[in-house]
Amino acid sequence: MSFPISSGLLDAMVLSVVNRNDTYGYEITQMIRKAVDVSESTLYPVLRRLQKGGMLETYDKEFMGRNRRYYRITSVGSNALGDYRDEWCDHKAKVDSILLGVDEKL
Amino acid sequence: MRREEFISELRSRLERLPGEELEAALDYYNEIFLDAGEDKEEETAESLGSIDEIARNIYVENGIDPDGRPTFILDERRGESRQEDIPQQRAYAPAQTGAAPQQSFKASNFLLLLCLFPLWFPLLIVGFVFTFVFFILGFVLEIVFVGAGTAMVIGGIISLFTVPPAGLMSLGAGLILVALFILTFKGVFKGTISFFVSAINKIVKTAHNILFGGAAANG
Repeated sequence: MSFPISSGLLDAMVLSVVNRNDTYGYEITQMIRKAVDVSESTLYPVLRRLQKGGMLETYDKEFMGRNRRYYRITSVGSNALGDYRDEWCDHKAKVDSILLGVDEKL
Repeated sequence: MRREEFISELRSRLERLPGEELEAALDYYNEIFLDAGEDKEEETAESLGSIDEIARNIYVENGIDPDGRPTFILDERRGESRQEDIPQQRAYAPAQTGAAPQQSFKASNFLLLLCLFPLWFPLLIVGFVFTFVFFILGFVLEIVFVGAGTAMVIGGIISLFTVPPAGLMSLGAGLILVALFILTFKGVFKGTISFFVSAINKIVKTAHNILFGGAAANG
């Protein structure tokens, strides 16, 4: 079985990938696909949404005689990523406490 | 499916998208194909999934109804973007994809409309006559502005040599009128035309809603 990935989590993962270094569409999808089973088609709206929300910005760079669109994280984006990470830790700890029986004060 | 075929199929399905959005989407998919490698085009196309589904999601994300219904249900859009999961769990069920908004001709409404003909038809005519009169008035006003303005400018220049103060005044007033003409000209014409178009659109839409029950109610 697989766990469904929420759209918020996908946003966060894309932001995190771009946060490491500027990268392009295909590479982002390959990175995300190491963890979850999503297609490039699922990620396109995510990238577009983050771009429109001012969290990512793009620039074109030449690669083998054609243009490649690179994504770069903005300050708005890295703030959002920070929030996502905090929320994720909180969420993960709560789920772990039940699923794994980790006895932790919530 | 090869890259070029995929891109042209996608383009034909995304026709209703604004130009910038369309190009962004096509660029993205084109790049995915190129980066995945020329020898893997068939595989790439397969992993991207159905082009119909891709187009639907892009439309929904842009707030455009994929089925072209006149009123777009915002809830559908919100629901869609929140539930974007793994491909097998898309919010759109295949059954929903084929469902066209049901529209049935309402004979009773048609009869009612027919009986009330003496009431709404004159109203419609009066409305159009009024708009037309306003249009003519605007037109006449523009002519007056430009005609009187030019005349005063010319008169002002001539009398500038005989009665300088009067000449200056006339020249100034004339320039003001010409400026008014230039400032309002575009607005008057554009405004009237767009008003006409939107009025006709509204009337047609209302009539359609009355006769066919309206997609908003059924869809």
